[in-house]
Amino acid sequence: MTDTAHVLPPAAPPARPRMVSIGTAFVSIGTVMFFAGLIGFYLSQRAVEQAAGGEWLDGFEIPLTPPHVMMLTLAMSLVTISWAYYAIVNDDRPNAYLAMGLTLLFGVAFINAQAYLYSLMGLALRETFQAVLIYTITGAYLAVLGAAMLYLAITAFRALAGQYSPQQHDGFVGAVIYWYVVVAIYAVIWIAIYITK
Amino acid sequence: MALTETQPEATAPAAEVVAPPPAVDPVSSVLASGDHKTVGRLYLTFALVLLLVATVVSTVVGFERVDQGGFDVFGRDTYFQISTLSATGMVFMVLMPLLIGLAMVVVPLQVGARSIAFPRAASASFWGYLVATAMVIATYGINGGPGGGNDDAVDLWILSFAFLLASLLLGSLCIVATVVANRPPGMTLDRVPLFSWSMLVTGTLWLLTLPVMLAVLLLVYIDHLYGRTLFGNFQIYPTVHWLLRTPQIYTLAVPALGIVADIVPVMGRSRQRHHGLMMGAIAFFGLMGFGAFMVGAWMSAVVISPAAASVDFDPLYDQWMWIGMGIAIGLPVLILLGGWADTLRRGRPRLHSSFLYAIAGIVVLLSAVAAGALLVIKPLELAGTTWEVGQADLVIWATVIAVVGGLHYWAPKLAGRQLGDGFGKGVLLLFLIGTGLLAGGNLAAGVPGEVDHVIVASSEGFNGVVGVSDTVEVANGAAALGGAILVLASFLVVVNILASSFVSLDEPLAGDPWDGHTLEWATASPPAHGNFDEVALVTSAAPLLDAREGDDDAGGADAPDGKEEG
Repeated sequence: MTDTAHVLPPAAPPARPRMVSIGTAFVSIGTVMFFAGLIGFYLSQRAVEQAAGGEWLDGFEIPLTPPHVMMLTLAMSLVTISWAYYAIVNDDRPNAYLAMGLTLLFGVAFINAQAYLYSLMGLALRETFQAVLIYTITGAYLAVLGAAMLYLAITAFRALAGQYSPQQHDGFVGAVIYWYVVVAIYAVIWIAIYITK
Repeated sequence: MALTETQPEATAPAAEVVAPPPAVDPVSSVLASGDHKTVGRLYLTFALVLLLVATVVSTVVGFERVDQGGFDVFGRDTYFQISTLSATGMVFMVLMPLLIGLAMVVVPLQVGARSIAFPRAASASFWGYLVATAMVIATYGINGGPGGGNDDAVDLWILSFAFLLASLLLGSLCIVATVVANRPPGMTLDRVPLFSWSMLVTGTLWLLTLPVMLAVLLLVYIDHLYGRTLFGNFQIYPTVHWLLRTPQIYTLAVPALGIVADIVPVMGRSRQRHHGLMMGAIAFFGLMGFGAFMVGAWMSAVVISPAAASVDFDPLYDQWMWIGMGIAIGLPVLILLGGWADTLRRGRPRLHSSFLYAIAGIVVLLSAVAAGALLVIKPLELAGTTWEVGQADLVIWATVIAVVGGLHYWAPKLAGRQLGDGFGKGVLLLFLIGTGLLAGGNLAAGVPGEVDHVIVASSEGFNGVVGVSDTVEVANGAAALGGAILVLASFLVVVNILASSFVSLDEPLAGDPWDGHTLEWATASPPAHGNFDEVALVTSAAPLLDAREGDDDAGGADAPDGKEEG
């Protein structure tokens, strides 16, 4: 190193930065914008169609019960993931494992309900651009939810291996942030596609 | 998993961090490296090679545009495809990777970090960029790309292009996270060096806008593959085009401002006052480049316009945000110019090549901003013409010039060498002439109303460039000649880099050959593994300048110059 390296006073070693949660926050921003693009295009197309006097979902029905159940499922997962977070913060590991497992179970239940909804809709992908839009948005959401479940599963296995403590649980916080964001995105999809139709 | 890996500087004591790494063979040490300097150099190397390719392709397209009948290399369908490759390649295969590569080397050093955030993700981002670039180019080889005749190859192009964007996003995520999370004690966000700050602004903007493009690409892919209800082969390109036009194109120039902002005070031998104001101006410039709101208008105007027989530009160019941003973006540039003029007034500038590139880059960018302001004035009827192409050319080449200036300035950190100074100044002259002719030709052709053929082709099919006036033909010829000069200039940049790497040095280059102000100059050239022996305590935006002036406290002789300004 050169002389200039020694003219600055040394600092104490830095505290461990919240690298993973900060990185996850930026990924969450990207994910939100991804769905903002998709849903924005969906809504603008629907507005154009309706302004022209057309029927947006002409010729097919989307039953409302499964989407409501799916929203409720994800809302309950918010409770369990918060439960897991506070269990980690309080070093209550059995409760943390249970809550993380339940959250993942809610995720699986959501995917199952979405598959059931697809079968009820009977919407042919090749026929209308409404179908293209709906399948693209909901399919992309399933992929993102799967990524969030994988993220949570990795942190769950790390917790099972003894990682994370009340003082240091940055990776787990990242998974929690992403889960919250993913659930919030579904709330928008639920309103935009299913409720307001 | 890179996202959850342990940050090395956090867990290892300093003495362990600077221990030399175990010996590995040279090939593995490059190909499997997660070191930010190695990954950044790889990015820069391939981006410079692709700069040569992209400039050659765009020059051939330019010459073909002059005289469609007499100089017909591609044929009409292929001309449209190659035009799209030329436009997207210059931005996504060359310019963004150049910026990311430079930032990957410099930003961790500037913020005093021992590594980049998520080093394996940074490495994956480079390899993703390389593979995706190869795939995108290959799809054109099998009649793919927008407007291609092979549907499978068109689908593959969509996926490859999405992969390319995702890879670049991953790289910028690493840079942004480094600036936010890897700073040393005392380096509050308002003390971050301006290039790092500009990369934070740029990376955040890319994370806010490029995912919208990914969403659209997914939609286009699903539709093209299954339904074909919205997008035919020719309607794909307009969904991408908003990335290459005002205001989104300005996001590429934000790092150029940061590069200039770091070079000017050091080469001007004066402290940059009003650091906070300069940061604010860079952030405001970036904000005025947020162009994701344009995607819907582009798709409505060109893809699904009710007036399908011709392009309906009204929904695009009547938007008050588009008009307002095109004019307001001049304000931060003027603020920055004032700040730099003040710095140079109080200093004794060295006419080093990096300084001249910085000044030239900002002059070209100022021209771009002025051209952009004229573009949004509707009565002038410049929107939709080649004026837009010329304005984008100015932004792109202003950024390239600034990046080459950055290569001259940070060459000691990039390679432990200095680039040829006199040679570099000669190349700068070529860059200025080439940019002037290229952009000037396109701007001039737009005044009498020559349309942007690539966009019109998206709606109506491409019918060749025919029936243009002599004036437009001369302007097109000037633009093509400018492109050829830029090919030569780009080639000479590579020659300069190669020539400097073969110069034998009697002794290692000094860590701080310029009397720098920021932390990257507080380590060896090139930096050793781990970057720094010890973490420094930072107390201002110019810590090395403070140290040289022996001005640890705020009340030094030069305190009015603003140790804590801004």
